[in-house]
Amino acid sequence: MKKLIFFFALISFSACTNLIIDDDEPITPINNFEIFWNDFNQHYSLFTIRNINWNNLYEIYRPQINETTSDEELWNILSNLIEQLDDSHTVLFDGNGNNYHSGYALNKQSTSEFSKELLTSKYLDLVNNIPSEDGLSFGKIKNKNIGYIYLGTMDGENPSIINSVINELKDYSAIILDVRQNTGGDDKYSSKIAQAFSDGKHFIYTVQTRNGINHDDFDNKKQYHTYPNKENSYVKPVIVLTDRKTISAGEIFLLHMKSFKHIVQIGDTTAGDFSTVSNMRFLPNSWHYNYSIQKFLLPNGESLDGIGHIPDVYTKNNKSDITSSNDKVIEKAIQYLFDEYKIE
Amino acid sequence: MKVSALTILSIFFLKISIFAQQKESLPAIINYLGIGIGYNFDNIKDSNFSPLNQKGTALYYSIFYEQHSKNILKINAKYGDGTLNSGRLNKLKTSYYKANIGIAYLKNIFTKQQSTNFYIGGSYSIDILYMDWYNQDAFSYFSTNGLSISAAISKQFTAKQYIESTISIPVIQFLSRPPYNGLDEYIIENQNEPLKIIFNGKLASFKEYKSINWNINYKHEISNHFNLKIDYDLNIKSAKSTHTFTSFSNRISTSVLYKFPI
Repeated sequence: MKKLIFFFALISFSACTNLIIDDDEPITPINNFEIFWNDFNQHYSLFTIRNINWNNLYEIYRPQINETTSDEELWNILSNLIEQLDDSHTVLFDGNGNNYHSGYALNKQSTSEFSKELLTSKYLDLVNNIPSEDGLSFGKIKNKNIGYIYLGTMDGENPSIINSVINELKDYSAIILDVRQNTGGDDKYSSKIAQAFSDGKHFIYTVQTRNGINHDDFDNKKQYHTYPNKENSYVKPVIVLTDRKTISAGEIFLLHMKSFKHIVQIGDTTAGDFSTVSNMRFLPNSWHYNYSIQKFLLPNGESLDGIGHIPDVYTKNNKSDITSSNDKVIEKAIQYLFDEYKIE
Repeated sequence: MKVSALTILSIFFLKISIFAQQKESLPAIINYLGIGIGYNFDNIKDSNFSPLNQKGTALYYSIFYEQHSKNILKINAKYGDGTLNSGRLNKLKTSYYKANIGIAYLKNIFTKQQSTNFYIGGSYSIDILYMDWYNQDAFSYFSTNGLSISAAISKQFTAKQYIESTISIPVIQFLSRPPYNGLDEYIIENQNEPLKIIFNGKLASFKEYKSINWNINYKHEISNHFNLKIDYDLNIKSAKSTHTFTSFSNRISTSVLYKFPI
């Protein structure tokens, strides 16, 4: 009898659960695609900025899927779909260690066009790593009166340490600030680092977050400015080195830096991906993904999303430069400082 | 809106205070201090977090105080955490945390045959559910605080056996939820002060938020000072705040109570 009561109780609770919680999403290729496409349609922020007709893409990719589509085929279709966005803040993960970054080919290629070991051995002296800040080190250019700072991420713990670094380098006639391969991180960190080079207050960009079902539904613009540094700013010539993998908060850093008069950007165009990424989203087949949810605009209303920061002086390494122990970008920066300011 | 809620809260606690004073005329006041442990079985669909249904179990701990005379006063704090599963082969695993702090007062309205009592009353509680997937790569929360109305029945079967059942419906509740994309300036600014986020909810009952709680418990006196209690709790929540949230939770728990008269 007790077993019977327990059994009926179990059935009742199970039935109640089904009444209250909707049926789970079916794990079918079509449903996975539909959830994926609709989520972007309702929340992705850069369709207009990047001139993407999302409905047209549905017409192209949806017919490629039926109930017999394999996981591999679906992966390729979804990857091809997001590749159209050319937005490396949009990433698809399969949960088994595989992922696909939209528009990532040039970013990936640039990793072989940079070598920190080469820099340290051939071009730098007196290199110090900051233990508390992952990816922050400084030193000087060999045989030159030029300071050097490398900043590989904007994810450190204590950005105000930059003032101590500047204090160490303040007597050099110029600084080369290298943000090649900067993987981004926290925009506030970027702002704090840039403040050490500030020459005053400038209106630099606005941010809006998508908040509605229409592609152009955004909240109010929030304005961002640079501010004067409380300590002594470094206002002698500063060369910022960039490449294709200078991304996100690394590019926000450049929005700050390029508003200052004594800054020159040398290298390759940056990634062109500014937005904060969404929460991870989930599909019934356990794949997951994220995407851009904001738009950044310059004070004149233009966007650098999909474009990136175009350098004042364009130059880039290729893989063979690095293998033959030459960094053309830093050499160009040294030459530029001599040509323009007679600094050597 | 928050001022009026504060007024209602003040009236509520004033009522409790008046009831507490009335107890002085009652012959016997029995206090219980208890600790408990239990298991929560949760079914959650939070469209803010994921389109998928989440199923999970959480180990639960509670500490509580009860005062029984003609009327009943209860104060409790509960905490539980576990893992929610979703997706194909349940490969998506999300940590979740639940906490509840509450105070309830039940006024005796009718006694039948000296052993069966009927009560009505109210409670104030803070209820929090937080979900976190891989160090906040995805997160969501569902937090309410406010007043509920309750009705209860109790029966003393023998000198040592007691059963009580309570049903509660939240009536004035402030609901706090993150936006779909997880990005909110207020949340970012106050991420180290979660109480600010919890108490920044908007009035949601009944239009956007509905819930019901049912508890049934059996208490057995094992000695003059110790009782053993077994509880079953059913909780159903439904919210339509930008994106829908529904949950269906069962909890079975057991606790030891230290009994002491004043």
